[in-house]
Amino acid sequence: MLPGGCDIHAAFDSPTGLIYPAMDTGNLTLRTNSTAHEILVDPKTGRARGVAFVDSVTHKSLEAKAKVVVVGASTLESARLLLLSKSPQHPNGIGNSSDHVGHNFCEHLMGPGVTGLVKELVGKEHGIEDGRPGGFYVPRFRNLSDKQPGFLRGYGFEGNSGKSIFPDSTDRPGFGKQYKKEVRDYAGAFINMGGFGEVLPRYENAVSIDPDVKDAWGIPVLKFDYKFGDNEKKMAEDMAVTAKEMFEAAGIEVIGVDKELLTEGWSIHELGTSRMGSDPKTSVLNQFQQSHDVKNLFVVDGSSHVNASCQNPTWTIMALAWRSCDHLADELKKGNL
Amino acid sequence: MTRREMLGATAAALVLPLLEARPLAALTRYNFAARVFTPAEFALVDELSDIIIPTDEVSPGAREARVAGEIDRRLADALDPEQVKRWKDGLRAVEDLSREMNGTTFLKSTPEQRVAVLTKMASTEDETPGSRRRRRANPSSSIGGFYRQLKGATTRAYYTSKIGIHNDQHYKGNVFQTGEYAGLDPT
Ligand SMILES: Cc1cc2nc3c(=O)[nH]c(=O)nc-3n(C[C@H](O)[C@H](O)[C@H](O)COP(=O)(O)OP(=O)(O)OC[C@H]3O[C@@H](n4cnc5c(N)ncnc54)[C@H](O)[C@@H]3O)c2cc1C
Repeated sequence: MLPGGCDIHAAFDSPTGLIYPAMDTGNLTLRTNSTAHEILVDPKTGRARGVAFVDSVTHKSLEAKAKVVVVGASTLESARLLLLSKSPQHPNGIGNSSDHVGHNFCEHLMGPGVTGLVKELVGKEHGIEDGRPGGFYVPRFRNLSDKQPGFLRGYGFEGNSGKSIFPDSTDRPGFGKQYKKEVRDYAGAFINMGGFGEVLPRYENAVSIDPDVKDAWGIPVLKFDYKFGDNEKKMAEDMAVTAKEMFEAAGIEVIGVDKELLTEGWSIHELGTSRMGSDPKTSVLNQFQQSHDVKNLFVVDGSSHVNASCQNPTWTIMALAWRSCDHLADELKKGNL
Repeated sequence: MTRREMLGATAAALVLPLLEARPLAALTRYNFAARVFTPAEFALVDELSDIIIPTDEVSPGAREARVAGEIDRRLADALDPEQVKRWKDGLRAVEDLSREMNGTTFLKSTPEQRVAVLTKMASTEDETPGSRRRRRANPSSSIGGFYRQLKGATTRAYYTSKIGIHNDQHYKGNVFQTGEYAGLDPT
């Protein structure tokens, strides 16, 4: 997928698959350039009554009234919005009687992996290998039937191989005829894979409101207290060792092993700041991503994930949002909200 | 490149006959379309790219694939204005190095002298094979950094050109298969 979505609407993206169809119902008003900074509370009931926002072009402050507030600003921005929404009824931020909003921030572990050369493929002519939808995938195998001494949970491998429209051999050294020949000969002869692991959700990994720094609209930004722990480091070591072992067992010449963990935040799969659970003391949302504290407040994004597991998150985010919306529609019909 | 442009380019690549070797006059005409490079800079990039990827027995080189024009186009569309400056500084540094080594400009040097300049520039290249992260290395402002940038941009432009894709790589993806299966038989 290219940035900006698919021009010809052949691939799924939110505008194509969700927003335009929702507009077609005639029941959606889209207000763009609107930066929400507070969920407003009805002082009598403690329930959400709307949202305060800034028009990001005119900088005007505005309010929108609502029967139900559904937040989907992403794992980080939703936490920020909840924490910013302080009121006498919700002094810790709305929906935050558990003190769990912003906590258990997690994501994925990446970096360690292996690159190999399949000698038999050097100098081979192009075939039609490029029509494949993607690379290869090794699902999680650690801590399923075995028990790893060094770490909990596990990781999968994502990899790539084969010739493609743009040769994968262009980082051959040098220049000139020799370089050109090497690019040609080695194209499609490389194979690589990298680990994709779970960063454990831990209470102490958290985001909170920065007391000093504000954004362009004067809204306080988030501060991060987030570090990989021992589990992540041990898991990363295992990724590198195991990746190499797998390639060697497959008869691939290993030409490089990456051992280093990419830095915290690299995976750009932020999750877990308003976790879901059945106990209102240790979680923020119920199974329908509905606030335990404020029944007409929902958070339908990556915030609700209790852990990152080792899979890409978006389909799960969307599936949960869908379920939450069905529940919401039901509750509205029953007059419960 | 937007997806639409890319689709357009690929479709065109499939129907157009292969490019004939172009005389220099055509290049000069092409030169006037440069949006970022001056004619002198353009000529320098054109020559540098053709040394990095020259014509060989399989396929034409970077000059014929109009690599310098593509680099100019990408720079003109770049979001980061610093990029243009880095290129202009880099090209000036190449000229300085040429004067220092050969006592004259890059284009007035002999072919051997030009290769010597590039060899010097390339001597800082990181040759650790197989690191999946190498291409993310920050291009620094040094001459070695500019060499990586130049080689990277040349490579990218060449192997996304019709000549690179078809004449050199013999790419077979996205062809309408009428007869026998044209793919790889893994057995
Ligand atoms: C480069 C990149 C590649 C990725 N690749 C994959 C992948 O291959 N597979 C996968 O599963 N995941 C991938 N992800 C992760 C995926 O994009 C996210 O997990 C997912 O988009 C999160 O969905 P969300 O609904 O939680 O938040 P978002 O999709 O971020 O939506 C939040 C929306 O809220 C808006 N918003 C935020 N704050 C405010 C505010 N104060 N007021 C009003 N509006 C606001 C934002 O503008 C945004 O439109 C990738 C992420 C990145 C950055």
